[in-house]
Amino acid sequence: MERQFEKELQDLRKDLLKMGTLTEEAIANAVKSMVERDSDLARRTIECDCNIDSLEMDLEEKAIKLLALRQPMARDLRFIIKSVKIISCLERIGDHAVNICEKALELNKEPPLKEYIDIPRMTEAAQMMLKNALDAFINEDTDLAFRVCEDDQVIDDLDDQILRELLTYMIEDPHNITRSIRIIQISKYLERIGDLATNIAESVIYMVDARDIRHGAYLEDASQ
Amino acid sequence: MPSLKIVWKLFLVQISLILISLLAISLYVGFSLKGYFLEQVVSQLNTSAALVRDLVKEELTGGRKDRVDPLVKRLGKEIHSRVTVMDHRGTVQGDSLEDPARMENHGDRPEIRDVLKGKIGKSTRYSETLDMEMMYLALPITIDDRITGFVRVSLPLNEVENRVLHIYEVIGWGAVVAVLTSLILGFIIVRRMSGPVIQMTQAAGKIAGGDFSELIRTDTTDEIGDLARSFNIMSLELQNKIENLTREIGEKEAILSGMIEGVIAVDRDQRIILLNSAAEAMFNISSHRALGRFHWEMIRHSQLNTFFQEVLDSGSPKTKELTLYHDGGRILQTQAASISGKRDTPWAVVAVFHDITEIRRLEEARKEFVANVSHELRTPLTSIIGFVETLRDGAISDPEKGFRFLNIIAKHTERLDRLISDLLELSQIESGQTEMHLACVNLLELINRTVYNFRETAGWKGQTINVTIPQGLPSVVADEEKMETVLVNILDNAVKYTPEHGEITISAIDDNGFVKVEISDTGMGIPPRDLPRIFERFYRVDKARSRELGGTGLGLSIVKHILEAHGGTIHAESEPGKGSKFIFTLPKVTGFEER
Repeated sequence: MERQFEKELQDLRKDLLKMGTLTEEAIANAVKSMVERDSDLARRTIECDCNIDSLEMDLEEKAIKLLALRQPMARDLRFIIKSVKIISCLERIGDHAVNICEKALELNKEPPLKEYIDIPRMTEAAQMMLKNALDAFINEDTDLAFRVCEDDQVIDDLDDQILRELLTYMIEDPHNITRSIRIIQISKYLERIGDLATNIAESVIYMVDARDIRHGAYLEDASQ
Repeated sequence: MPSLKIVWKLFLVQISLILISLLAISLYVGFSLKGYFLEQVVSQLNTSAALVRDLVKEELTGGRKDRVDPLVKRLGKEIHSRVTVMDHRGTVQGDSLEDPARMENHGDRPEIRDVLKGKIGKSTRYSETLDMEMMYLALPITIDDRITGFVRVSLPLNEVENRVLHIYEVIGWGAVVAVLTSLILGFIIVRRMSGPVIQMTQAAGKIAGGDFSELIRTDTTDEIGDLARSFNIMSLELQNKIENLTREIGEKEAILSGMIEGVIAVDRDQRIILLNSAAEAMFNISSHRALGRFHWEMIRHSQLNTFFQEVLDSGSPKTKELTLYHDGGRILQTQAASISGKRDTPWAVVAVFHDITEIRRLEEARKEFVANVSHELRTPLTSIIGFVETLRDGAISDPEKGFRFLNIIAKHTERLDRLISDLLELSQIESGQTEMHLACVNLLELINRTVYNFRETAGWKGQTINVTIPQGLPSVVADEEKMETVLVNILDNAVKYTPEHGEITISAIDDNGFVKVEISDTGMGIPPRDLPRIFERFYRVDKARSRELGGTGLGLSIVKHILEAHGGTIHAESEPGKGSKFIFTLPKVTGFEER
């Protein structure tokens, strides 16, 4: 009985990570399709999103079943509850990857505005945050999770920088405005991905330590 | 002390055995001897009583009662017994030890009463008169079947008791001797037995700890000796086996870690059971953390995760090409096969990862090269054909136009010529066919001379070229003409890609057997993605711009090949938007050649 429960939890973990892996790959492919102007890859990535969506539904059902049938306590309960939250974060990240692909498809129809410098950097940062958040989840490593929360600032700064840079392009030539806005949107999506990765990291911290550090509680926590 | 346990156990058994048997023997001997002695006493008393009866009978019946007592006293002395004679009423008439007058009536004594009842009068009891355990035997003195008196003879029983006690004493001493002997013998035997056993226990403990050096010394030929010898043989065998195993494992590990290919093995439960160092580097994980963990935890790659599962499920080897998402998207040719156990169900999957990124890149480069060469050759040719056609169609009659077109044609022909001579040079250097006129080259002079030629072009753009080279810079062994090509190519790029009022700096230092030259500019820089590829033929960071600036796309490629032919190296560092830096090294002249 107990072992069966363990196995079910393990299954949940496995599928959650599978979903995380697919999401990570979706972001990588989305940005790649934009930077390398590969419309085929963008289309493929959009198609792949249905896998993430079906996994979300599947996992949520599993989690609800576990809650209803096993009535878990303490750590297991936290794990299942936060898994549900992480699942929805991952699904949102997947959607953002699709959004980036859509924008990439539009951008690819027009000549390139400029060489992408900050977008790949931002992607790298966002990917690293998601990777670290998932690693923290696997290893139950709260230090790493805290680092993810701190890294969010880097992405926010890059987002601001992209906005400022593109503003100059728009001022220079009104023809640049459509493309610039698309790039700004992509930058926003990446910024949102960073936020969602932070949410995952916060969930991991709650899961492991039963500490809620959301909405500035972390600052108090750190000052203690 | 563990040895004592077995010693004490054996002693306890031995001693209890000895004591129980001695007790049984002594009890039996004691009882039977006592019985025998008592019988002896009884028969002796019987005989004595019968004799005394005959002697006393006459005196007692004859009425000479006063003579009874002296007779009894004499007889008592003769037979070493107490003799008492009583008349039929029990009144003592004579006693060998006491004065009969002072003695009470003996008619109520048990032996007398027994006689009266017609039995043999025999009694054992404590005599208060004599203060000892006595046996009494009484016989009736009869005349014509009428009892006229009694003769009682008695012997002290302490004699019998003493004898029995003496036997007990002898047996007791025997017991003590037996116990002591068995103690000593037992101790010796146990010592001889437990010695090797203790040694074996210690040796086994050491073997468990990995120390095979201890052998058990034994000279006995009994079972313990055999056991000790078997133990020694076992220890040696075990040592050999373990050494072999360790060596085999070491060899395998060396082979695995020496492999360029990554190797990962995953068991049925999808846990990683083996991971070599190449795989660690490929997937950016460390084996001490990854071993025993699920592969889908440690390597998040959906294709790889499903690939492992597929091979496990199907049990047949599979091949797949995977692209990694980190580390610039390396391409891995993956071959996986399942390891089957005894029951044909695969219990593990071994995957070998072959990094084919470089191969793919070369393939791509070759394809690109062919496409590029055609394209590069075609561009000027198209212009030439176009202008020639225009001239033929009538423009030739207009001298002014005709001259302009011819100029353009000449320019494109020059470009074609440059391209082809660059290609030729490149292929010659690459195939090692060019003759190198090696000599001592003073780099400072060469650099100054080359820079001089660039001052004018740089001056137009308001750029400054700084040369900071120490005077004592060692000379290098090089082909001066080719080195000039190197410098010209790098400087040409620097001047072209650095905006107006930029700065170009050339510095050189003596670096451990080599001269290291750095040429840095404040130009637009090279994106990191392109950095490894800029030395490839026709590779252009910005395709449109570079052709516009008149490059053939072969310059850096030629530079790299010239430097490599000299035994030097080149690489570039850059930060987009800030500038680039080209660093090349050349072997410096050693003291001997300088003279």
